[in-house]
Amino acid sequence: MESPRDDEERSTPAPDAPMVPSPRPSVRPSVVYQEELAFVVRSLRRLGIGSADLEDLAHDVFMTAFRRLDRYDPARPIRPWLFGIAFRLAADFRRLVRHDRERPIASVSEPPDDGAAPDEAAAQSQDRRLVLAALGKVDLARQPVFIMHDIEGLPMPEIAHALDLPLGTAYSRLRQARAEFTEAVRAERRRGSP
Amino acid sequence: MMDPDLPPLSLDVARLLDAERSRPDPSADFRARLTERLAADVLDGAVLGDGRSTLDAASASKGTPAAGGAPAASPPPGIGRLARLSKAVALLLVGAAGGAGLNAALREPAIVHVPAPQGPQAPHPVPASSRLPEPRTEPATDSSVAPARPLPPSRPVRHADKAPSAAPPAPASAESAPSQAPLTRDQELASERALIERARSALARGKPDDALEAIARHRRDFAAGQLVEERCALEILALAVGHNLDEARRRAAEFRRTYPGSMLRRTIDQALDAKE
Repeated sequence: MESPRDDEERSTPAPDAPMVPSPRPSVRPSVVYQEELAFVVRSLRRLGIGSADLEDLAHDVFMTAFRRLDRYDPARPIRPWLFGIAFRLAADFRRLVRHDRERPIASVSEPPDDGAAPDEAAAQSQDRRLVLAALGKVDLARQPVFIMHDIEGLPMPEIAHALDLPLGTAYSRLRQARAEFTEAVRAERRRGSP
Repeated sequence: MMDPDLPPLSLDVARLLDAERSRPDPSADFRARLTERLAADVLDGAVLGDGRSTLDAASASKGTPAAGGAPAASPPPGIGRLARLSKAVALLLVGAAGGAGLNAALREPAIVHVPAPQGPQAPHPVPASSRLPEPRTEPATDSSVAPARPLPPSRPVRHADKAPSAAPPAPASAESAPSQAPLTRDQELASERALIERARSALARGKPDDALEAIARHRRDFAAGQLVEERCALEILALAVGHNLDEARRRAAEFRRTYPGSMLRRTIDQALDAKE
C-alpha cells in the first residue's frame, strides 16, 4: 500500500497529478454494455421481440445483468450468460403480452440495412424476416440452443452451462431445433411469405 | 465435444443464417436512448435497488409500452442549464454511492479469448479474471455512507492492515470488530465510498471547494482505488461548478481518453454543456 502524501491534501488538484490511472480491462457494467449491446439487441430480435419493445427489453437485460454481475463467472464467456438473461426476460415478456391484446407479439419488422446496396439489402432483409419467422416456429426449449450455436457460433459446453443443461441434452435439442427450423423455412416459403 | 449424430445444415439454411448474422447493429439513436436510460438507472442506484424493471412497469401500466421502468430516465425537454447541471451532479454522485460499487466489485479481469470449438462465428473477446469477485449484491453497509458526518482525521480503515497483529483491540463497534484481519475489498470500498459521498454531499450543497478537498483526499488515500473513475468524474463536475471551466474541460478530455466507454461521459458532457 502506498503511504499517504500529505501534500496532496488540498482543495484544488495538482496540475501535474495524474487525474486518472491507465485504463484497465474489466467487466464493469459500462464495458459489458459497450461491448455487448449489439449482441443483446440482435438476440432479443431472434427471440421474437419486435422493434417497438426492443429498447425496453434491452434495458431490462442490462439492468438484470448489472444487478447479477457478482454471480457471473468471469472465466466463462459472457455472451451465453447474457443470452440466458435475455431468453428468460423475453419469455416473461411473451407471457405478459400474450394477455395484452393491444400488443401483438408477432410485430416483428425488419429495419433496412443501411450498409448494403438496395437490392442486396432487400434480399438480406427478406432472408432475415424468413429466419425470424422460422425461429418463431422452433420449440421454445430448443430455440436458445439453436440461436446461440448455429447463429452466434458460441461453444456448446458454454451454452449448456448457461442454460443449465447436460451437454448431451443440449446437442439433442440442437438437432431437433435444426430439423424444426428447416421445416419451418420450407413451410414459410410454401406460404409465400414473408 | 462434438455430437457425431449432428446433421450438417443445408446450404440453403446456412445462407439464411449468414443473412441473419449480417443483421445491422442498433442505430445511433437507439444506442443513445438506451445509454441515457441505463446511465440514469445505474447512477440512481437502481441496479442495487428494488429490482423494478420495465417488465414491472409494463405489467403495472399496460398500454404504455415504452414507458420503461426508469424514473428520471431522460431529462424533460426544455430543462434549464442550471437544472441540467444539477441533475448531472445528482445522477453522477448518487451513482458514486450506488452503482459504482457494483462496478468496483468486478474490476481488473483480463480480456481473453475463449475459443469456440465449432460454429460459424469467430470467438469473441470475453472478460476473465484471475480470481472471482467476492459475492456481493450490496457493496457496503449503510454505516459506510455518512455524507453529513465529517470523516475522522485518521487514515481510512484500509490502512489498518498494516497494524501489527499484537496491537490492542480497537473500541468495540460493528466496524472495528475484525480489526485484526486484513480488510476486504468491501471494507476498502466502504471507505472509498464515504469519501466520494462526502464530496457528493459537498457538491450538492454548492460547496465545490469542500468537494475537491474530499476528492483530493480520496486521491491521496486511494490513488488506485476502486472508485477512481467516479472520483475523476466528480472532480470534473466540482471544477465546473467552481467556475474552473478550463481545468474542467482539460480533465474531461483526459477522462474521455482514459474511459472511452464510460457511462459517466454523457453526464460530464451535459454538465460542461450546461456551463458553456
